[in-house]
Amino acid sequence: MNTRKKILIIGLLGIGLLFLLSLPQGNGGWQGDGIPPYTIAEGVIRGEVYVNGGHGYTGENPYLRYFELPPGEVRYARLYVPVWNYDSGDNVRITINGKELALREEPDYVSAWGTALYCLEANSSLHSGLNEVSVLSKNPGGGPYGIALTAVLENKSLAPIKFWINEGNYALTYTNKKDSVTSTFENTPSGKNASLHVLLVAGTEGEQDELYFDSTKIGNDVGRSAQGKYFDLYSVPVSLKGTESTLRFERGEEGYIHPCVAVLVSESTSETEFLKLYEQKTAKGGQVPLSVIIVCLVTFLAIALRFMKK
Amino acid sequence: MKHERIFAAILALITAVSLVSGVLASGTVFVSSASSASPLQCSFEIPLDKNQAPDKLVAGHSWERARVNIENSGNELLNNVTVFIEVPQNLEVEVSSQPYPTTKEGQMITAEIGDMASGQSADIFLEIKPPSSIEFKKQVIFTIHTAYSGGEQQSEHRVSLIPPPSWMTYFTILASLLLFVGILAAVKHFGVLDLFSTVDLITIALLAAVIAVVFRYLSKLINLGWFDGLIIAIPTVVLMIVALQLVRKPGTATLLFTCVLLISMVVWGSHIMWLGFYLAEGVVVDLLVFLFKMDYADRRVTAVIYGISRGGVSTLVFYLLYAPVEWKISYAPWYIGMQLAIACAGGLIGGLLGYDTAIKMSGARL
Repeated sequence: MNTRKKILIIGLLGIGLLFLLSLPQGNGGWQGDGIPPYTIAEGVIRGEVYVNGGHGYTGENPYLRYFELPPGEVRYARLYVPVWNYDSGDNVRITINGKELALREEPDYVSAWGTALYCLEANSSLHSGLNEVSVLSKNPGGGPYGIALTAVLENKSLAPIKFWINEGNYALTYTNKKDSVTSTFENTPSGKNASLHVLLVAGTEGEQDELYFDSTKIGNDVGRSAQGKYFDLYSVPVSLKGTESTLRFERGEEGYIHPCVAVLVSESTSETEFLKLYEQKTAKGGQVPLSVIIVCLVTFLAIALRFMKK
Repeated sequence: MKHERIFAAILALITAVSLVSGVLASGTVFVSSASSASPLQCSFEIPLDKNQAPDKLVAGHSWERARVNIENSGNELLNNVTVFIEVPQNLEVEVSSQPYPTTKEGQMITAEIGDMASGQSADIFLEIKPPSSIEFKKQVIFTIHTAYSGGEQQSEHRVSLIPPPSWMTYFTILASLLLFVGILAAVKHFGVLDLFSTVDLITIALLAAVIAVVFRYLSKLINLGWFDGLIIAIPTVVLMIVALQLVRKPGTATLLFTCVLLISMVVWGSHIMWLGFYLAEGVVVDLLVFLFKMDYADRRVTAVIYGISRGGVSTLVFYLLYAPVEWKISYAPWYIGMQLAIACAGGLIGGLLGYDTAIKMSGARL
């Protein structure tokens, strides 16, 4: 092989390597550790907060879920669609009560090997009584883990309540060696009773994980596919001890578990109603893993050395 | 030459059978014992994932969704339609919110559909959880009784419960380890490892690293939908053929795929349980090398045969053993057939490309 040809081949290999390293971050591959659940909405309202969802990864397409909302006016509603095996090019089409809400190409949060969470505001699409939510997904080999709904309903006949809706998608896995993650609720009324609802995906029954609220253990093996395959919506009463409460997820024996949503609802000390929405965070894109770069460099070096010798 | 023809014919037959079984299985129709005189048609579907085998549940599996569909196929309005679904005792059942008032009392689910016009249909959804353990495969019966003003009907729907793969899990791990120990013993007895020079081992390790790290990463960057399997199958076979031609020692493929697993364990956290899967694809190729009188993919036809065999074996081992064991999923025959066809196509393309690549690289041994 002449020198010109050798230079050409090495050059092409180098270009290939540079292309690999310059691939768009956050698309495909290890999608990063994700974002710990943070507060996206909080407020005080006379009424109630409805939290429900199910029913695990079933492979059905479209994926159907019915929500029976209590009486009241829907002031704020956040629909959550966690999805397994997201790849760029996939999409979900969400329909509520027969009307298309959105066609989403990109999930709001994605982590690990494509565990994605789509979040949609659905205030005007829902009503009291039975609501049908349908998710048609284009995702070969994957699909929704479930559908969950958090709806804040105003009902003047009820006492005021305070609520916090935290959302994110954080990969607690043995692969990235992340063993715990926390999510905080600020300005909590100390001494009040509250109820906590936690949405987790990818949990496996029998693999012990732990859930702590202000250092008090409130759950064991919470991610156990209780509401369906790899889908858990865990509800538990808690008592608020300080002006800031912290929820901590411990991975324990779980291979993979993704805390996605945490909703805290407590008695309110204030009669003043408000609804505060926070800006949505975007996850830092996944990086090309160091191992991939190293193997590419070594391979490139080996081939280059071989051609140099010839 | 005779071996090659026989083997090529067997491979072609397997591929054809897998495709035909796929087509046939996709047309499976649920058989119900409903009376043909009744205007109500009843069907029962579990699981709802079309890729999974219908009317089969693997014990130890989590919740699976079932759908009961009732259709008024008659010409008249039916009043006060009520559906009673008797769920077998050894299955857990839950019902969630749905369009029709549905109640659960023990194992009996009652859904009040109300009036049904001609041609109208209604879906009732159930969440079903199989037992965590059963000794042998068995059939359970869902009895669906439908009553309406002026008539009633009953149908039975059989669902197979497949034994939990807990013992199969141990068996798989044990078999994998025995295979591994057997290979090590054979390696020691025949002094196979002594045959590999340091350069051979470096070559195998490097190729294994490329398969385990780079290809696996790249496979997540490209989305070919149903043909995603080709993204990793083709380059893997190419490098396998390259390894065979460059190293030219018995056991090369087994060593290559064992290294792929070991690297995957370190880099991606793959489970040791997959040892048998990786060993199987390596062992089959090495056996074929032996069968073809130490032909290290030196001919295009053997390269293709090795590629297809590797694809076929890995697909069958995965869908027939590892999917039920690891994920407790029983895939539908048509789906397995389709994946087998894709894997064989990947092996064919990879074999052809691998042969050309290996020929060009034959002078490029490290």
